[in-house]
Amino acid sequence: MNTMNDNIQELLERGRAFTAEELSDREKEELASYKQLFAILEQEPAIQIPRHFPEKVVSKIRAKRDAKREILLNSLLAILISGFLFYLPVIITGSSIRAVAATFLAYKWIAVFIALLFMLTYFTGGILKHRKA
Amino acid sequence: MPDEYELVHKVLEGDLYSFNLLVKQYEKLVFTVAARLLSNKEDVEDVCQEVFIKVHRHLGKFMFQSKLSTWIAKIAYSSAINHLKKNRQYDEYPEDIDEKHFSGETPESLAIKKDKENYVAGLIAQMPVQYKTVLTLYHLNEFSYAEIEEITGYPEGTVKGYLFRARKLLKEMLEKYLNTEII
Repeated sequence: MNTMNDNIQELLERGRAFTAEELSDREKEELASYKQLFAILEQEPAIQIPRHFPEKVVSKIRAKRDAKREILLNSLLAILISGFLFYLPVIITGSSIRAVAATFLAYKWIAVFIALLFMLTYFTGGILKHRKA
Repeated sequence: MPDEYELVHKVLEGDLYSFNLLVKQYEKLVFTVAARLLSNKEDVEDVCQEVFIKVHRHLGKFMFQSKLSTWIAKIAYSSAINHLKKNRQYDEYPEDIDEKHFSGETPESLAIKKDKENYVAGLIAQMPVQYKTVLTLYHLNEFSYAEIEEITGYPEGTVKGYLFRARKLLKEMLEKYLNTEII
Protein backbone atom coordinates (compact mmCIF):
# COMPACT_ATOMS: atom_id res chain seq x y z
CA MET A 1 0.00 0.00 0.00
CA ASN A 2 2.77 2.36 1.00
CA THR A 3 4.78 1.37 -2.04
CA MET A 4 1.84 2.22 -4.28
CA ASN A 5 1.47 5.60 -2.55
CA ASP A 6 5.18 6.28 -2.86
CA ASN A 7 5.33 5.19 -6.49
CA ILE A 8 2.43 7.39 -7.49
CA GLN A 9 3.92 10.38 -5.66
CA GLU A 10 7.29 9.79 -7.26
CA LEU A 11 5.82 9.53 -10.73
CA LEU A 12 3.76 12.67 -10.23
CA GLU A 13 6.85 14.53 -9.06
CA ARG A 14 8.58 13.58 -12.28
CA GLY A 15 5.53 14.77 -14.19
CA ARG A 16 5.06 11.44 -15.92
CA ALA A 17 1.86 10.82 -17.83
CA PHE A 18 0.09 7.49 -17.37
CA THR A 19 -1.75 5.38 -19.86
CA ALA A 20 -4.97 3.79 -18.65
CA GLU A 21 -3.64 0.27 -19.24
CA GLU A 22 -0.69 0.49 -16.90
CA LEU A 23 -2.78 1.20 -13.79
CA SER A 24 -5.24 -0.86 -11.82
CA ASP A 25 -8.58 0.63 -10.76
CA ARG A 26 -7.30 1.23 -7.21
CA GLU A 27 -4.18 2.90 -8.58
CA LYS A 28 -6.29 5.09 -10.85
CA GLU A 29 -8.29 6.24 -7.81
CA GLU A 30 -5.12 6.94 -5.85
CA LEU A 31 -3.63 8.81 -8.78
CA ALA A 32 -6.74 10.99 -9.10
CA SER A 33 -6.61 11.81 -5.36
CA TYR A 34 -2.92 12.67 -5.49
CA LYS A 35 -3.33 14.75 -8.63
CA GLN A 36 -6.02 16.74 -6.86
CA LEU A 37 -3.83 17.17 -3.79
CA PHE A 38 -0.81 18.28 -5.84
CA ALA A 39 -2.98 20.89 -7.57
CA ILE A 40 -4.17 22.22 -4.19
CA LEU A 41 -0.66 22.25 -2.71
CA GLU A 42 0.64 24.23 -5.65
CA GLN A 43 -1.97 26.94 -5.25
CA GLU A 44 -0.51 30.03 -3.67
CA PRO A 45 -2.07 30.86 -0.31
CA ALA A 46 -3.47 34.35 0.14
CA ILE A 47 -0.60 36.00 1.97
CA GLN A 48 -0.99 39.63 2.83
CA ILE A 49 2.29 41.43 2.53
CA PRO A 50 2.04 44.75 4.40
CA ARG A 51 2.03 47.83 2.21
CA HIS A 52 5.43 49.46 1.70
CA PHE A 53 7.18 46.52 3.37
CA PRO A 54 10.50 47.01 1.48
CA GLU A 55 10.49 50.72 2.39
CA LYS A 56 9.94 49.86 6.08
CA VAL A 57 12.89 47.45 6.04
CA VAL A 58 15.13 49.95 4.27
CA SER A 59 14.21 52.72 6.72
CA LYS A 60 15.10 50.44 9.67
CA ILE A 61 18.46 49.64 8.09
CA ARG A 62 19.07 53.33 7.37
CA ALA A 63 18.24 54.23 11.00
CA LYS A 64 20.70 51.60 12.29
CA ARG A 65 23.39 52.78 9.89
CA ASP A 66 22.85 56.41 10.93
CA ALA A 67 23.03 55.48 14.63
CA LYS A 68 26.35 53.67 14.06
CA ARG A 69 27.71 56.67 12.16
CA GLU A 70 26.58 59.01 14.94
CA ILE A 71 28.34 56.95 17.64
CA LEU A 72 31.54 56.89 15.59
CA LEU A 73 31.41 60.63 14.98
CA ASN A 74 30.69 61.42 18.62
CA SER A 75 33.52 59.16 19.78
CA LEU A 76 35.91 61.00 17.48
CA LEU A 77 34.62 64.32 18.79
CA ALA A 78 35.12 63.15 22.40
CA ILE A 79 38.75 62.20 21.65
CA LEU A 80 39.38 65.59 20.01
CA ILE A 81 37.82 67.50 22.93
CA SER A 82 39.84 65.46 25.45
CA GLY A 83 43.04 66.26 23.54
CA PHE A 84 42.12 69.93 23.39
CA LEU A 85 41.34 70.01 27.16
CA PHE A 86 44.73 68.43 27.84
CA TYR A 87 46.68 70.92 25.72
CA LEU A 88 44.71 74.00 26.86
CA PRO A 89 46.62 74.40 30.18
CA VAL A 90 49.91 73.89 28.32
CA ILE A 91 49.03 76.77 25.97
CA ILE A 92 47.55 79.07 28.64
CA THR A 93 50.03 78.59 31.49
CA GLY A 94 53.09 77.68 29.45
CA SER A 95 53.70 74.65 31.70
CA SER A 96 55.41 71.58 30.31
CA ILE A 97 53.33 68.65 29.03
CA ARG A 98 54.85 66.48 31.80
CA ALA A 99 53.67 68.90 34.51
CA VAL A 100 50.15 69.09 33.08
CA ALA A 101 50.07 65.29 32.78
CA ALA A 102 51.10 64.96 36.43
CA THR A 103 48.30 67.34 37.48
CA PHE A 104 45.80 65.37 35.36
CA LEU A 105 46.99 62.10 36.88
CA ALA A 106 46.50 63.52 40.37
CA TYR A 107 42.88 64.29 39.54
CA LYS A 108 42.31 61.30 37.23
CA TRP A 109 39.23 60.04 39.12
CA ILE A 110 37.47 63.36 38.57
CA ALA A 111 38.20 63.05 34.84
CA VAL A 112 36.94 59.46 34.85
CA PHE A 113 33.78 60.57 36.70
CA ILE A 114 33.12 63.37 34.18
CA ALA A 115 33.69 60.98 31.26
CA LEU A 116 31.29 58.41 32.75
CA LEU A 117 28.70 61.13 33.36
CA PHE A 118 28.95 62.24 29.73
CA MET A 119 28.67 58.67 28.49
CA LEU A 120 25.64 58.02 30.71
CA THR A 121 23.90 61.18 29.47
CA TYR A 122 24.78 60.33 25.87
CA PHE A 123 23.54 56.74 25.94
CA THR A 124 20.38 57.47 27.97
CA GLY A 125 19.58 60.23 25.48
CA GLY A 126 20.20 57.82 22.64
CA ILE A 127 17.96 55.14 24.15
CA LEU A 128 15.14 57.65 24.73
CA LYS A 129 15.47 58.92 21.16
CA HIS A 130 15.38 55.34 19.86
CA ARG A 131 12.28 54.52 21.94
CA LYS A 132 10.48 57.66 20.73
CA ALA A 133 11.29 56.71 17.13
CA MET B 1 15.42 44.16 -13.13
CA PRO B 2 19.17 43.73 -12.50
CA ASP B 3 20.52 40.19 -12.25
CA GLU B 4 21.30 38.53 -8.91
CA TYR B 5 25.05 39.15 -9.09
CA GLU B 6 24.71 42.81 -10.02
CA LEU B 7 22.04 43.38 -7.37
CA VAL B 8 24.14 41.84 -4.59
CA HIS B 9 27.18 43.89 -5.56
CA LYS B 10 25.21 47.11 -5.61
CA VAL B 11 23.81 46.35 -2.15
CA LEU B 12 27.32 45.59 -0.88
CA GLU B 13 28.43 48.99 -2.17
CA GLY B 14 25.82 50.52 0.14
CA ASP B 15 23.07 51.15 -2.40
CA LEU B 16 19.83 50.97 -0.39
CA TYR B 17 17.68 51.43 -3.50
CA SER B 18 19.05 48.11 -4.79
CA PHE B 19 18.32 46.53 -1.44
CA ASN B 20 14.74 47.80 -1.74
CA LEU B 21 14.55 45.95 -5.09
CA LEU B 22 16.00 42.82 -3.50
CA VAL B 23 13.36 42.90 -0.73
CA LYS B 24 10.61 43.36 -3.33
CA GLN B 25 11.95 40.39 -5.28
CA TYR B 26 12.09 37.99 -2.33
CA GLU B 27 9.38 39.24 0.05
CA LYS B 28 6.86 36.69 -1.22
CA LEU B 29 9.25 33.80 -0.60
CA VAL B 30 10.04 34.98 2.94
CA PHE B 31 6.40 35.69 3.82
CA THR B 32 5.31 32.29 2.47
CA VAL B 33 7.82 30.44 4.66
CA ALA B 34 7.16 32.56 7.77
CA ALA B 35 3.37 32.53 7.42
CA ARG B 36 3.34 28.75 7.07
CA LEU B 37 5.53 28.14 10.11
CA LEU B 38 4.25 30.75 12.54
CA SER B 39 0.82 30.34 13.99
CA ASN B 40 0.65 33.89 15.29
CA LYS B 41 0.09 36.08 12.25
CA GLU B 42 1.24 39.21 14.09
CA ASP B 43 4.71 37.71 14.45
CA VAL B 44 5.04 37.11 10.72
CA GLU B 45 5.84 40.71 9.76
CA ASP B 46 8.36 41.10 12.62
CA VAL B 47 10.15 37.89 11.65
CA CYS B 48 10.17 38.87 7.96
CA GLN B 49 11.71 42.26 8.81
CA GLU B 50 14.31 40.49 10.94
CA VAL B 51 15.07 38.16 8.01
CA PHE B 52 15.80 41.01 5.60
CA ILE B 53 17.87 42.89 8.19
CA LYS B 54 19.96 39.70 8.59
CA VAL B 55 20.18 39.37 4.79
CA HIS B 56 21.53 42.94 4.59
CA ARG B 57 24.00 42.39 7.44
CA HIS B 58 25.39 39.09 6.16
CA LEU B 59 25.15 39.57 2.38
CA GLY B 60 28.93 39.89 2.20
CA LYS B 61 29.15 36.22 3.27
CA PHE B 62 27.02 35.06 0.33
CA MET B 63 29.45 33.40 -2.07
CA PHE B 64 27.09 32.56 -4.98
CA GLN B 65 27.56 28.85 -4.29
CA SER B 66 23.78 28.47 -4.28
CA LYS B 67 20.88 30.52 -5.60
CA LEU B 68 20.23 33.72 -3.65
CA SER B 69 16.66 32.48 -3.06
CA THR B 70 18.01 29.33 -1.33
CA TRP B 71 20.27 31.42 0.91
CA ILE B 72 17.43 33.81 1.81
CA ALA B 73 15.01 30.90 2.41
CA LYS B 74 17.59 29.36 4.77
CA ILE B 75 17.67 32.60 6.80
CA ALA B 76 13.85 32.79 6.75
CA TYR B 77 13.53 29.18 7.90
CA SER B 78 16.07 29.50 10.74
CA SER B 79 14.57 32.83 11.90
CA ALA B 80 11.07 31.32 12.03
CA ILE B 81 12.33 28.23 13.88
CA ASN B 82 14.27 30.40 16.36
CA HIS B 83 11.14 32.46 16.94
CA LEU B 84 9.12 29.30 17.64
CA LYS B 85 11.82 28.00 20.01
CA LYS B 86 12.03 31.34 21.83
CA ASN B 87 8.28 31.28 22.39
CA ARG B 88 8.28 27.57 23.33
CA GLN B 89 6.09 26.73 20.35
CA TYR B 90 8.56 24.44 18.63
CA ASP B 91 7.82 20.72 18.87
CA GLU B 92 10.29 18.06 17.92
CA TYR B 93 9.12 15.63 15.21
CA PRO B 94 6.44 13.39 16.76
CA GLU B 95 7.33 9.73 16.30
CA ASP B 96 3.66 8.71 16.49
CA ILE B 97 2.69 10.99 13.61
CA ASP B 98 0.80 8.24 11.78
CA GLU B 99 -1.48 7.78 14.81
CA LYS B 100 -1.92 11.51 15.32
CA HIS B 101 -5.47 12.67 14.92
CA PHE B 102 -5.78 15.60 12.57
CA SER B 103 -9.01 17.26 13.31
CA GLY B 104 -11.04 18.34 10.36
CA GLU B 105 -13.96 19.36 12.49
CA THR B 106 -12.78 22.13 14.82
CA PRO B 107 -15.08 25.16 15.02
CA GLU B 108 -12.48 27.13 13.09
CA SER B 109 -12.23 24.59 10.30
CA LEU B 110 -15.99 24.25 10.12
CA ALA B 111 -16.16 27.97 9.57
CA ILE B 112 -13.62 27.84 6.79
CA LYS B 113 -14.81 24.56 5.31
CA LYS B 114 -15.89 26.38 2.20
CA ASP B 115 -13.64 24.51 -0.13
CA LYS B 116 -10.96 21.89 -0.45
CA GLU B 117 -8.17 24.48 -0.51
CA ASN B 118 -9.12 25.92 2.86
CA TYR B 119 -9.63 22.44 4.26
CA VAL B 120 -6.13 21.37 3.20
CA ALA B 121 -4.65 24.64 4.50
CA GLY B 122 -6.32 23.96 7.86
CA LEU B 123 -4.84 20.47 7.96
CA ILE B 124 -1.36 21.73 7.10
CA ALA B 125 -1.62 24.24 9.95
CA GLN B 126 -2.07 21.31 12.37
CA MET B 127 0.89 19.37 11.02
CA PRO B 128 4.36 19.23 12.62
CA VAL B 129 6.67 22.05 11.62
CA GLN B 130 8.86 19.62 9.65
CA TYR B 131 5.94 18.69 7.37
CA LYS B 132 4.81 22.30 6.96
CA THR B 133 8.34 23.27 5.99
CA VAL B 134 8.93 20.64 3.32
CA LEU B 135 5.45 21.06 1.82
CA THR B 136 5.93 24.82 1.55
CA LEU B 137 9.45 24.71 0.18
CA TYR B 138 8.72 21.95 -2.33
CA HIS B 139 5.28 22.89 -3.63
CA LEU B 140 5.09 26.65 -3.20
CA ASN B 141 8.68 27.73 -3.57
CA GLU B 142 9.61 24.94 -5.96
CA PHE B 143 12.89 24.06 -4.28
CA SER B 144 14.53 20.71 -5.08
CA TYR B 145 15.27 18.09 -2.42
CA ALA B 146 18.95 19.14 -2.41
CA GLU B 147 17.99 22.78 -1.90
CA ILE B 148 15.56 21.86 0.91
CA GLU B 149 18.40 19.93 2.54
CA GLU B 150 20.58 23.04 2.34
CA ILE B 151 17.82 25.26 3.76
CA THR B 152 16.67 23.05 6.63
CA GLY B 153 19.68 20.88 7.35
CA TYR B 154 17.55 17.71 7.15
CA PRO B 155 19.21 14.99 5.04
CA GLU B 156 17.68 14.56 1.56
CA GLY B 157 16.18 11.17 2.49
CA THR B 158 14.48 12.70 5.53
CA VAL B 159 13.10 15.54 3.40
CA LYS B 160 11.63 13.01 1.00
CA GLY B 161 10.24 10.91 3.86
CA TYR B 162 8.54 13.91 5.49
CA LEU B 163 7.12 15.06 2.16
CA PHE B 164 5.72 11.68 1.18
CA ARG B 165 4.19 11.03 4.62
CA ALA B 166 2.71 14.53 4.77
CA ARG B 167 1.12 14.11 1.34
CA LYS B 168 -0.21 10.66 2.22
CA LEU B 169 -1.84 12.02 5.39
CA LEU B 170 -3.33 14.93 3.48
CA LYS B 171 -4.60 12.69 0.70
CA GLU B 172 -6.32 10.39 3.17
CA MET B 173 -7.94 13.28 5.03
CA LEU B 174 -8.98 14.92 1.77
CA GLU B 175 -10.58 11.69 0.55
CA LYS B 176 -12.53 11.41 3.82
CA TYR B 177 -13.58 15.05 3.57
CA LEU B 178 -14.74 14.74 -0.02
CA ASN B 179 -16.70 11.57 0.73
CA THR B 180 -18.44 13.32 3.66
CA GLU B 181 -19.21 16.27 1.45
CA ILE B 182 -20.81 14.06 -1.17
CA ILE B 183 -22.96 12.29 1.46
